[in-house]
Amino acid sequence: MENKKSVVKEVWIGLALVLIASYFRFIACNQLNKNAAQYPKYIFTLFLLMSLALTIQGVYFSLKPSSYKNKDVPITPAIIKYPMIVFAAVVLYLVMFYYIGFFVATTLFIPLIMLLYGERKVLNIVAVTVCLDAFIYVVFCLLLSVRF
Amino acid sequence: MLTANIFQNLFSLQTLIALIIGVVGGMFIGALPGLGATMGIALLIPMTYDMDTTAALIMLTAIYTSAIYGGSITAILIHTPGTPASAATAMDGFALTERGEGLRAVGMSTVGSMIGGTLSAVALLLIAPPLAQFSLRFNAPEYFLLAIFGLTIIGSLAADNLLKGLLSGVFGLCLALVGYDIMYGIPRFHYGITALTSGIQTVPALIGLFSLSQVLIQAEKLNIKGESFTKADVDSMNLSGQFLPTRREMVHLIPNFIRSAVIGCIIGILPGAGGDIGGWVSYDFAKRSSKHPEKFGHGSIEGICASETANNAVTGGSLIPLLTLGIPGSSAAAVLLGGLTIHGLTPGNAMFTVKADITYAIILGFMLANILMGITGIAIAKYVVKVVRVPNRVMAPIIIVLSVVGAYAINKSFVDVCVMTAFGIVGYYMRKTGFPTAPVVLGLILGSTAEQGLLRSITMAKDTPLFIYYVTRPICVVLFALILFSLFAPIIIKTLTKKANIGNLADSGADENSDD
Repeated sequence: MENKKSVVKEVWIGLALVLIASYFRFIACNQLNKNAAQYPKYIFTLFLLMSLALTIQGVYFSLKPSSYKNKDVPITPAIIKYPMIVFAAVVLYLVMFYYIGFFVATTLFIPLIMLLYGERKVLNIVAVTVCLDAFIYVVFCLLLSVRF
Repeated sequence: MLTANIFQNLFSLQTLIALIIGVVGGMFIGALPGLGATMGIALLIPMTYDMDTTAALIMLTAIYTSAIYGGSITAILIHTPGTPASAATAMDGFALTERGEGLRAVGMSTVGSMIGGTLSAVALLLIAPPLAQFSLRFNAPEYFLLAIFGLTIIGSLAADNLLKGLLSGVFGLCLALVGYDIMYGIPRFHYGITALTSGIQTVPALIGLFSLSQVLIQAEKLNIKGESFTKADVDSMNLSGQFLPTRREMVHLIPNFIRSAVIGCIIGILPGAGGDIGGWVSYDFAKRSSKHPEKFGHGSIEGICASETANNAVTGGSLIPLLTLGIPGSSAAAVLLGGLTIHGLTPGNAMFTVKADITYAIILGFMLANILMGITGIAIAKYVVKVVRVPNRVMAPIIIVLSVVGAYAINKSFVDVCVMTAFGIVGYYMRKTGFPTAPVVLGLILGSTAEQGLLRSITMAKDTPLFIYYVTRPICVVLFALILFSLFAPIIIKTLTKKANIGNLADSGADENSDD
């Protein structure tokens, strides 16, 4: 049963890739200069053919699940919940970086992510925030002359 | 004059400091389960932007070899390989720890890693220059096939499913299309974003694919309460007894050291086959030639010697095709290729002629790094294991912030930070669905070589059909054969590993999500 679910997932992945490859091969490439489109056409054709092959392979494994050895952990909402929350926090960090500057954003982000990870000791949060800010300031701003 | 320049580059204060940071830092990075050489290098490349080229690349290669060794310390003492390369070590190493001989096992691992790494550096020094000279015979058609060969072999070896591995490589080639067309100078697929006209930058992409995606993978464990390793776990380790092998043991193990180093080097040269495969194959050979094969898996010092010597020998081996042909021998070497590129070094014969003073200094620095790694290991190995107590809630913000800073620092461009983040989520889902990320980086790096090679060979072929033109060139025929071989390589490697009959990564507790 587990195998069957995974195989179905691969069929969908294959189909999604076929759609993406088709868009780039037949629409995006045609909007380019003829010379500049030559090589991209080869590559997207290859990508399209391989995506089709993945779909066909997925269908084959769907029909014969016993021949499929799947080691992947299924993607369920419970599994991806925290990664997606962390990713959302990273996106929020980037927005803050863009609008209020790197160091202020970092000083707000580190406590946020540490709290999210379950850190409750204020001293640890302050120590990591201060040390990381100081490290980046010394290494990147002073030594590498990066201006944020 | 050249020798003087090499030693001047090698023994500058900056290089020596970089060497020490690389060795010690790599050891700690390797010891942390979930972090590995690939991620460590990806994260530290941005810090090398303003460094002297020699110092920067010595630091990165030192991190590579040292992280592989660092992974063995936790494998032996707490049965958790810091990197998959130490998976074979975990079985025998932990069995020895349980018997109260953990320090002896770490000592063997230290000596084996040092010997394996150093011998592989010697191999690099001897094999790379003639191979680089041979690369002078390469023209556009050969470079095109070389790029395809690199992609097919890394794609076929890095994934359980050949098609997914190859698709990842082609995905990398697609990403390399963004930016100015190298033949006609016409911008492609930039969708109005000026920063993308110069293409997708390799470093932000690889930081996203290897570092941020790893943080997201680790975040899955957030719903599991409690720390992975407590103070009690670390304190309970028995670290008494003799550390270094006796002279008698060393003499007895000489054939094992040499055989394992040779196996490691050969497997390192094969693009895509990393330290884990080197470790297992060498372990199998050691078991077959041992007078006590029954001890393997139950605390065999020969087993630790074989796997640790080989997995560190893989590092030097993987640098041979990297420096000479631009084809990385492992995921970590693929990331190192990004490091070479940002420091203005192009793999090939020029590295051993025009840039010889830098290249030889890097190779000798890599050799020194392996020796220093052994000395440092003897001094601090038993303390390095305590790093596993650093919880995810401290590591995660550090990795995320350094990823953002690293992506930004290359061009001071916010678009690069967004690219890194996008690659982070793409990398996460790729890994969740069984698509390896290393071929994407390689495709991104080799994309322009492949494009230039193919289009120039079409011009060179004139009226001759392209395939006929290719098969009239002897090196192309060899490369065609190698490409075909690479497609069958997974079957060969699987057979070798299966013959070893020694379980798999999951059994030994290695982090399967790591790319090392």
